[in-house]
Amino acid sequence: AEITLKLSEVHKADYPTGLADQEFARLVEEKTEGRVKIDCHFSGTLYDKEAAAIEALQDGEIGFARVSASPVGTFVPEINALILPYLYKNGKHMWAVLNGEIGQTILKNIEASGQGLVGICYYDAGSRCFYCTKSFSTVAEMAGLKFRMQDNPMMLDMVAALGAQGVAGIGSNEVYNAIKTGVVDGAENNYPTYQNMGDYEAAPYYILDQHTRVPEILLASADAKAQVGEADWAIVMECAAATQQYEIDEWAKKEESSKKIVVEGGSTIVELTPEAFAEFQAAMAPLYEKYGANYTEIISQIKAIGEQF
Amino acid sequence: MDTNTLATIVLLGGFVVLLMLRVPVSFSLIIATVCSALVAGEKLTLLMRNMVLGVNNFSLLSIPFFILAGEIMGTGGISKRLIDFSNLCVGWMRGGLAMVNILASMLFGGISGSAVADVSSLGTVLIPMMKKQGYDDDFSVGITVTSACQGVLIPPSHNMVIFALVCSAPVSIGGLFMGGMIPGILLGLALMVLSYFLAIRRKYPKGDPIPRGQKLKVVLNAILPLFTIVIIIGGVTLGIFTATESAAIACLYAFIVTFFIIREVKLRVMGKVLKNTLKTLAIVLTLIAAAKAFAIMMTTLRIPETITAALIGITSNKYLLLLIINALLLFLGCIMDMAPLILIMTPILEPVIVGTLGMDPIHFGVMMIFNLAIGLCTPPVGSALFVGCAIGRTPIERTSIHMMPMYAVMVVMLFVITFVPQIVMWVPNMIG
Amino acid sequence: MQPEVRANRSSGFIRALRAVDRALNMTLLRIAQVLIMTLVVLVVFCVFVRYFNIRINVNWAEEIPALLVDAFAFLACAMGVRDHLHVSMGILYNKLCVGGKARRALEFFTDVCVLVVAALFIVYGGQLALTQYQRGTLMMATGWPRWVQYIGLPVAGVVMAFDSILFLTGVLPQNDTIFSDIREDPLEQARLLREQEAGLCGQGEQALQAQPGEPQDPSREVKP
Ligand code: NA
Ligand code: NA
Repeated sequence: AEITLKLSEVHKADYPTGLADQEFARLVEEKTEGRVKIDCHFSGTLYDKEAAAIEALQDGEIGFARVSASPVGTFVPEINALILPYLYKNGKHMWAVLNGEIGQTILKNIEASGQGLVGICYYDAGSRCFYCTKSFSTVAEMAGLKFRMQDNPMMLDMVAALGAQGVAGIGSNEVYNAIKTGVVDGAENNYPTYQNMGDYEAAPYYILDQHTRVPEILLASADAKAQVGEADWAIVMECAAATQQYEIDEWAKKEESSKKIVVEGGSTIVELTPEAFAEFQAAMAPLYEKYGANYTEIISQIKAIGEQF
Repeated sequence: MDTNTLATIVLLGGFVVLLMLRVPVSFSLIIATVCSALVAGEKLTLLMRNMVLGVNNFSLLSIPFFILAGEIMGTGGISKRLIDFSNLCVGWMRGGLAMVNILASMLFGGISGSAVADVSSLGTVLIPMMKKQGYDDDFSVGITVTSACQGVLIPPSHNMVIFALVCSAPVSIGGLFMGGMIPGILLGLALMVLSYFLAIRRKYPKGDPIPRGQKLKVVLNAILPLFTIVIIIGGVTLGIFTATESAAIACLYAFIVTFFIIREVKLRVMGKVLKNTLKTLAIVLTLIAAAKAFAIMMTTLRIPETITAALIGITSNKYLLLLIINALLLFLGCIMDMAPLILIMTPILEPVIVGTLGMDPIHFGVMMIFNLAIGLCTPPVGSALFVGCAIGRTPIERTSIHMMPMYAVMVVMLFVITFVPQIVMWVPNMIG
Repeated sequence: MQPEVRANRSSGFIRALRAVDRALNMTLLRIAQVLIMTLVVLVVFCVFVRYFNIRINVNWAEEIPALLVDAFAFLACAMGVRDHLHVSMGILYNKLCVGGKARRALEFFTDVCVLVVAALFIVYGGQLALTQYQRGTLMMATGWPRWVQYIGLPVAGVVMAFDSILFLTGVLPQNDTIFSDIREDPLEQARLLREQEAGLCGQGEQALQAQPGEPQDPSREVKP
């Protein structure tokens, strides 16, 4: 029997995750010899909020959704440990964690939580950094600056811990104007968004503090897994695994091209010295106490993995 | 016939049939969407969830605020003050009251985002005044109604918020507001020129001069209400507030000015003001929710792509395409209201206009709203015209025939702003 | 007018139904009024916090206002049904004679459609709220339960269904309103005028001009 499953993606089709979705769909159709087809819907045309896409997966409205890891924390709390600020030294460190035992156990726990969700694989979303109308490279220089943040308690606490003020309630479309007109001094995001929304023209200093690395997760609905059947599901999982490196490469390409555009557009990339980075990390102590208290073991394991990078 | 074609016919055909049978637009959208989903085998919870998502949106907030601020301002004798102030500025000209009418609309447009609110609050005072001074009643109604369309172009304008919401390309509300400013003012100026020539030919009188001693008082009286414009436009451009915040602050300001400074109405009126706001919101928000579900079904059935292909199939000439699209919108605007058309037509036309023709989303939005504003003053369905005719007690048909020169001016202005993007983009580019 | 005659003869049960309907709709109105004022206060508060650098972490600045809009959107939708506020196209309807059978058929059909939509709201909105309730999922920023965002749908659905059944059975006359005073609403007056125009079956402008109006604004009495 032939089945078609919908995949919901909030990014555009040519975004790294969008490309990975299409590659995934192509591989699945090829390897299952057409028994399973995946119909990708990009740009949030099906659900413009990831939280809603997750609900839809639970209710079996769609087969797959590519979402950020952070809303999945509602179902598998350990994910909250993976997305703590200033946790990873760099991208390699994160991938060693995600594709190692910690990350894979968490992925399995998504299904084990019995919430109707199945974790398939992680994708890269780079790191988020501050950008600002002023340059800064130490915690002290952040005092009194206002940053537009996503409506997320931990991120707001993070900015507060750094001595700056987080402002929620500004839509992503309004960030450029908010900075340009001085409502806020800056915001934070990854390279592609910084470039794509034109925010670099308003806030020319991109501070490479890499505060968070929140990976993307490809999720499936438990209904979809049941429909596909065990044999074909194994193929689906294989195909997804095969798209991970593809997405990481596409992400790197995207980041590089965005970086080139912003630099040519007059932006200054401010790198942090290891000492400064340690200072940012140290400022997170109250945050780790508040959000990481339940995961001290995982956190120390992650830090241990970081020794080799 | 395959399932998708059938579902498309059910969706679009069902919608039109239900509309014709006088089912409210929002419920026609919902029922057509649900029937089409049943044909296409889509899950209904997907559509219902999206209806909720459509209104569970932070960017929507400024809509209730702008409507509320306009309602508060409309209760407390503000229109009278703006009219006196306009009289001071342009009343001395030939056809003075017509000029006053247009200028007052421009100022009132900076407070309200609705043409109907503009017609009903300014029209009730100005139309009888104009008739008394010997203006033809059709002309009085016509100029009131057409100039009221500045209200949806000059910021604030909740219809622009709606556009920003449904447009998939990132477009900021502040940018749209700035974009609407010059076209709105130009429309007013064009109507003034027309009124001037008609006034000479038809020997309409000059306005009553304001006694020297009262001039200062008139200016002072108008300053407080006009400061709302400063809050909204200044607040957004100077970066004190975001669009949503400026709307909330405008509500607070309007509230204080109306009930504690001007004090022409009692605080008890606030209950009614909120009720009226909710009545407008009932219509707008239900439409937004319903249109969201409809749009999901349209994209699932790939209708925008089909229409884009069809349009490009006709011609690849940019100007000709824009001409065709504008003609289509003008036609639809004649038979339908503005908000539902923005909600339904934006997802359909965006791929052609922004995608293929490369028009700036701000320019697209202002052009579309300008176009649909013309529909507000035309029969068979034009809410501004209807209210104007009700106030002036003139029959709709005769009035609309006498409004031909005004329609002509509006259509000419529409094509000017369509083909000269600089008019729209000048202010947003200067500030952005 | 017929409906009024009927109103006078109506039984206690019918009067009770009307009273319940009125109470229901007034409750919606009160809730919606409170919600919209809360919204203004919340957003103004956020501006103050930011502008005066008050050290409060406002992490609900998006979630709660969005939730409130979504709640009163559907409550307002139900209020709109009660007073027939939702915009519709009268192209065909206005051509038909006032009080004629064809008009009544269209009115009936509209109420049936509203009832269908109300049923959809109750069934599917209820289902969405219920599954979220059973799962106990919470929202990201505020930690409020997620079912809250769907609850407006079934609540509005119940009121809409009740209203449309009362209209269908004639317990409520078509032109009955709770929230709108026809004499004060310009759009409502415009509608009445057009109905009169149609009802006069082309007797011309003289008849229209001679209509006994109810001018609440004294300036309106001025005739050229
Ligand atoms: Na306006
Ligand atoms: Na019209």
